[in-house]
Amino acid sequence: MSVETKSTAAQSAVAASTTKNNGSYKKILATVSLFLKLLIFICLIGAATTSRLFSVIRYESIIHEFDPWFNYRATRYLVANGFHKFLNWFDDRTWYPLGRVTGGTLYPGLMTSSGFVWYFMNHILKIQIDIRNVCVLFAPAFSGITAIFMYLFTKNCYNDDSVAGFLSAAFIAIAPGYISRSVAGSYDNEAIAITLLMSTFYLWIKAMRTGSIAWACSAALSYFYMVSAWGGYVFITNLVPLHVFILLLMGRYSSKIYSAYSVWYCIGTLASMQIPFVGFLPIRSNDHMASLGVFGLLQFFMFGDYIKSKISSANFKIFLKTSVVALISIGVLGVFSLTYFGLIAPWTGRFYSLWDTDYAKIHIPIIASVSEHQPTAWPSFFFDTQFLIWLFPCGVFLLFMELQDEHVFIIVYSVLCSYFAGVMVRLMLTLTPIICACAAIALSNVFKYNLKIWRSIKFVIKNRKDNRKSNNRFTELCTLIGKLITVLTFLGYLILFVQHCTWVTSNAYSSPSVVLQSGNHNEDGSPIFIDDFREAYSWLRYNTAEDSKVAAWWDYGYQIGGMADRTTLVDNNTWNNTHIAIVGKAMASEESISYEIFKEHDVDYVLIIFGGLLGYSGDDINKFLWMVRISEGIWPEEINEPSFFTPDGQYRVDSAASETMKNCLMYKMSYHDYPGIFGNPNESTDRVRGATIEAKHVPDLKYFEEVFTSENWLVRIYKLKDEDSQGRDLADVYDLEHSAGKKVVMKKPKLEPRIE
Amino acid sequence: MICNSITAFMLLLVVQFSHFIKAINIDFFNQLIEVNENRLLIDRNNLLISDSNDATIFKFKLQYDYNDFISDLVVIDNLAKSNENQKSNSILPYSYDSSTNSIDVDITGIESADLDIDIVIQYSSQLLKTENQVISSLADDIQSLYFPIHKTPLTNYHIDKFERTLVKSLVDDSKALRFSDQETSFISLNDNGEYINKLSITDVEPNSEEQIDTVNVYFDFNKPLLTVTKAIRNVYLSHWSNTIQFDEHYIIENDVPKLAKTFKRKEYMSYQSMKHGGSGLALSQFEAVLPKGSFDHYYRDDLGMITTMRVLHHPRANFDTFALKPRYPVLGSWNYIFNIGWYNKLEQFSHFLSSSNGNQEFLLELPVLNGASDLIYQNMTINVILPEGVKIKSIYAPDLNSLPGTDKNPKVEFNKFENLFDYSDDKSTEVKITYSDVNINSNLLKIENSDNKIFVKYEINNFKVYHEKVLRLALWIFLALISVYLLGAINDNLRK
Repeated sequence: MSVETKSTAAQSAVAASTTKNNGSYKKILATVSLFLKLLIFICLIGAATTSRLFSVIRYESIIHEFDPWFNYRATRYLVANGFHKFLNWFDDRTWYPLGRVTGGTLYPGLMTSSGFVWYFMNHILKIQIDIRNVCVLFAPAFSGITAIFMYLFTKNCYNDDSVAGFLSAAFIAIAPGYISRSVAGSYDNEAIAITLLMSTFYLWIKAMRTGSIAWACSAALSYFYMVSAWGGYVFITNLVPLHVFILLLMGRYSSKIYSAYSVWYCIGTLASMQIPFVGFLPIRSNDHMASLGVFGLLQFFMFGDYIKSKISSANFKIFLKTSVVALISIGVLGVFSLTYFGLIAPWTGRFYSLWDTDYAKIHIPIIASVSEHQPTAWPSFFFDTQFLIWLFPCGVFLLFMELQDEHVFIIVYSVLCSYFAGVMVRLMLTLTPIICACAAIALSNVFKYNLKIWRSIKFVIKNRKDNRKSNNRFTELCTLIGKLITVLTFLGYLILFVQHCTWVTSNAYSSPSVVLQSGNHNEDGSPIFIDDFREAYSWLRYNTAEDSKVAAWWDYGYQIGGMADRTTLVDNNTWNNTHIAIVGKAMASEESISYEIFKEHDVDYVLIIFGGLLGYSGDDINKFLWMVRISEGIWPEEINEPSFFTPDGQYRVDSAASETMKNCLMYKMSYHDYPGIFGNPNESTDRVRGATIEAKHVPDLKYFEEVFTSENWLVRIYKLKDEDSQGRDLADVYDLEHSAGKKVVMKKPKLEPRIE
Repeated sequence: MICNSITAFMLLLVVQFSHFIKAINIDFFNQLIEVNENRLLIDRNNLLISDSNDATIFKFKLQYDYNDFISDLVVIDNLAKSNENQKSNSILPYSYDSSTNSIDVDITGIESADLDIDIVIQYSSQLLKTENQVISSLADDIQSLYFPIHKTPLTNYHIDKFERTLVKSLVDDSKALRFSDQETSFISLNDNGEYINKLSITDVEPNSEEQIDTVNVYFDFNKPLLTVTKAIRNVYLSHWSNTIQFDEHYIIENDVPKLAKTFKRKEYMSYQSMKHGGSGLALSQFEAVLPKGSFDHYYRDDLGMITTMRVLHHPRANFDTFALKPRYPVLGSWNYIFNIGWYNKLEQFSHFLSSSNGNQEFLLELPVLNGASDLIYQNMTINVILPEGVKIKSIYAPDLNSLPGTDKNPKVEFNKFENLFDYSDDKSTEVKITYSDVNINSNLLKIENSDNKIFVKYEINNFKVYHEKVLRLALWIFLALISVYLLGAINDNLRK
């Protein structure tokens, strides 16, 4: 809270300094205000960093969730092998047997940055720090820098209003919408990308306002850094041209815009093409064509401007009309034909799903299966930004009132991002900065007007004996009280905001998801943790052969690679839909088919997540329908989604479950041995789905055997049985062993000549 | 020429032969073999020897290979021990003769013709083998260990009378020992688990057939058999903060029989409920002993913190305990790898000796390992990292086996170690002490005596240790600030 009050103090200090003309007084005030500003910055960075450390204090310095584990593994590889090997890294431990050209298919910005920080600390400053700690604390450190850029951005966008700047910086420092992706341990591209987004936008505004080539170059370099760090750079690639395009439509062409955009586009595009993963995309993909088009248009405007100075205005109008029509038709035709001939890559699936929310569900289930690609629910806007969400439109409205060039940028940004954030949950992240900026602008105006109370106070106090002006005094008093109420109300909101942010950060966004809190405590008061994931991963790491292949649903691929250090079939990179569908098919098929599929892929172990005992709802049975859908997309004749439902269309796991469901590998593996662990030998309750699982409904596993199950049954690992030495079918062998005297008819083993 | 040499050889043979046969005779050979709670096998041989007048050495044939199976061997002269004046000489020196796998005890210093000596041997746990290689299920939690013994001791001398007692001193339900098939020569003596030869054996001739015959002694040992294949202890000293930090890395293997099938959680849960939380042969909890007053503990592995640890401070004892629960129950032939660490006050380990001219001399007294109970350490590395500006005066690394003639001595190396803000070439010294293939029982290491401690005598320079780095850092910061100021000044000048 201190941050906001200090910023108003700074404002009043600055305001007071302008009223006094006394030179030395002014100088002292300037020094004080500088000192206060510095103090505010330090407090802001402090608030931004420390509020993100809940998880480190509550748990430990640990990498969170899924994707960060890959980034962490890649960073360790970079630190161990150097930059060149990192760029040429072919990873044969993922996507077995295909492998992944990891060096060429990642955004290296995050890893190189943290690698650089690590090198700088260890070899130059000589502060010996573990690469893990660098990675864990990377996002909080960068969020401090984001706050600074946010200040600069808002200040530059809104009439050099430093109060708005400070407010926006304070908001972004603690806004849950941004914290959700930047707590300590959430070592993901977004952690660094938002900082770079704000720095690029700030530099762009600066370049556009000054027309300076130096600023434009800085913007381009910042853009390059952004491209190297996050796939979301496309947002900048389209937003800046859109800003310029709208300015052109508004007839605000100027040489400043020309020089800023041309320099930014040329340097930025050339630089971005140096990233191996981006390569020739900036000149080949549809996502980048807008910026190229605007670049061309700008050249035309420059040419037109030149022509305009040479010919009469009547002639110029004709020239303008014909050439605009010609240009647009050539542009549209060009894009279409180039796309048709395959010279320009068509839009990606994620792009389509931005415009049609049902597109992914129908065409690319793998995109729809990711929870962060779901449309945003209404409450989450309030949850992530609290009262800023309703100040946001006020800020945009205020900008509309003035509508300077840089205001247009904020308006465009807000409109576009509001839409995107509504479509995909994860894009809340890009909306948050602009909400903070607009809300800060609105709030700054509120304070600017309502804090001008010094004169009213003087008026009310000094003239208390002057009866003639009593009427005026009463009005003045009412105004004063009105202003005070407004200010106090908003101060109250700010206090609530800080409380809300701290509460959300602490309760919703600070869980590493690798470790869970059980809610119970030891005798000495220390919390009891549920550490099943690491229990199972460490077992894999220390007790299986180093070249074992582990099949699991793709969600756990990065974690298995990072923590268990074993080869996986699929992981969170999801670059090969068919490969993922293979694993999905194996999980959804009957045991004998699954066994064959896994044997073909040299799989040694199969890992599943089962939350039935704990009540952990993010387990594989709940994700299972996505496995079915994704594999159905490839093998519609073998996998059929409705067959996993009961006749009346319910997804059940108890005795009413369909036969296909009961016989699929996922079901068998999840409930193998489960009935009977609570006392009643014949049944157990699945606490996630509230279903009673009876022993007679869980078929025996004949081709797989359990090798490890974690303490709370959260992770279960199965091994593929070795092939029978006599060539018999494993199911027959199992039946024979468990027949207990009954006669079992054995099929004759298939014997074929083998060519070695 | 040839004739001469043959004659010389014959003469030599005669001399050798007469030396053994004529001079020495073992009147009474009493052997006590004790199996201990912590897999320790101790063999006490009491020998009464007569007619040793001319002999300079007494050859004691070993039952097992010296290099592989023996971890400690002491020869005590009982007569000298009882005579209080000569207490210091009661331990007799010996050397190892590899050709006959025997030790040559030097008896030149003994004046009387009759000898009463004790030869106490500690066998390495490698001598103990598990009888059953697999267990059918967790409930089948009986583990049987065995070791072979010769029916009568191997010897070059004539033994008049031989007696042997076997003791199993395990806190266990069954004290019984078992023997290989058709072995009837042992009888149970009492309920304390003592077994003796049925008859005292008299007149054992050298190199008789009986000596070569072995019999296996079996006993139940229903606890995990933990071997630390590698233990690394890093010790960081800081005079600046007056702390000593211990950071230990362990690779532990459980050598109990494997499960015939695979590990099933349901089976394990029902086993635990049957045994009231016990885990049988699987390792589910163990305790490490720490020096008293330890603080800031951690327990982690490559994946991060392991949350199941508890530190107990015992107000009356001079140690703390660190209760550690592995991430998963460690079954037969499974591995478990982890790190533990803690701090102590430096003065508990580093003792001030003297000071002169701003230099202070300290003696660091460090247990080789504090460790847990009932572990067998195979390889150990102890790294002592001393602060910068420290001069090492002397180092004593105990010879844990103290066996003459083996190459299992500790290796001491010196390395440079880079510390915080360490810009100069004057790096910290890291003393690296390595013990390889030692197979030492952790319970022996826990005994408080100087044989289990590393001593480092070092000298610190007060200025170097306490002030130099701070001053150097301050200077750098000062220079940085001054240069910023100067740069600002230059800019102003140019404008004017």
